[in-house]
Amino acid sequence: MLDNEENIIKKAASGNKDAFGLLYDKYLPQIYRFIYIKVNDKKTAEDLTHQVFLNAWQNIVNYKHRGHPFSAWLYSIARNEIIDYYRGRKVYVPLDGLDPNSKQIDSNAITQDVENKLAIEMVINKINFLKPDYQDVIILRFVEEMSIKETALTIKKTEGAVKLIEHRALKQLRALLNEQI
Amino acid sequence: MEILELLKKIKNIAPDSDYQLRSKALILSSPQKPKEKALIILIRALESGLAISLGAILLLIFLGGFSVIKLFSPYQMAGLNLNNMKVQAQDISNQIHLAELSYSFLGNGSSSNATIKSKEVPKATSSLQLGTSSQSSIYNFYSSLEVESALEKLSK
Repeated sequence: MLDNEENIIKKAASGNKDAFGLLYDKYLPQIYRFIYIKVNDKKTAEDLTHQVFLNAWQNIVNYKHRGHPFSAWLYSIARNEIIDYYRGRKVYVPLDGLDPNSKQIDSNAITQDVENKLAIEMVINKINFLKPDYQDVIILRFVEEMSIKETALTIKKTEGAVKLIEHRALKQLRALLNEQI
Repeated sequence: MEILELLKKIKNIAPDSDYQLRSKALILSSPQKPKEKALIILIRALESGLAISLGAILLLIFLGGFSVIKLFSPYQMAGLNLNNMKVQAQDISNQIHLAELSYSFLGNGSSSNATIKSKEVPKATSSLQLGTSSQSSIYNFYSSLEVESALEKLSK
């Protein structure tokens, strides 16, 4: 969370581009990752992320701070964009197994170690087999390292529900990865 | 490798810096939407509620249509009342008897007399019971003739 985030949001809502720029820089990577893991395609992730921030910029005038983190609002826009994306596509079958040529992971910050890269690809592939709720909790809890409370606020569920989903999602993900091995 | 470690490594995924600059510039160059007025927000909030209530009203009209028609229609559906139906049925049978009588009464003077006579047969026979057997047989012959002729006329 940014320092004095509420004021920055108010400025952005009044049309201040610099203020929104700060929010954009802060939240772009995590929203991009969230979308990337879910759609498993770099180009699509870029397009959807752009759409999320465009929607956020156009509608920030109607944003009301209700104690939830600003990121929760962005995640909800992202989830809706992903739902729309999958609705538009008739059939979506996640690729089973590894196909390193089919997609690229952005190489800016990812380690060059091929084994690691393949392992990450495999995990992302397997996350795509999980239910949307399970995916959300796995990404927010273990990729973005949010607390149970933050995750609960972001996905609008109780902390107990988040714990339960986390337990089930990890169990299922482990089972999927073991199948692969 | 442990699954949680792998998940943490996913955090290294980041968008291209070129893409970031391009996208940011495009977004900030687009205009913001005007702030929604309170009335519009209220209407949007009530939209679903209105739709549900309208649906319920329509459903009530469809399901309760017959009883409403019955209440407000000038043509009462008396036929649906069992007691009324019984009374009407009795009236019909009585009317049939009366019609038969009036038909034979108005049709021919002699036959009407015959019919009336035939109706009066039980009384007459009781008075003739003490008479001779020949008289009663003649009376039976005439009465059967009268009944037959009356039936023929009715059939015509």
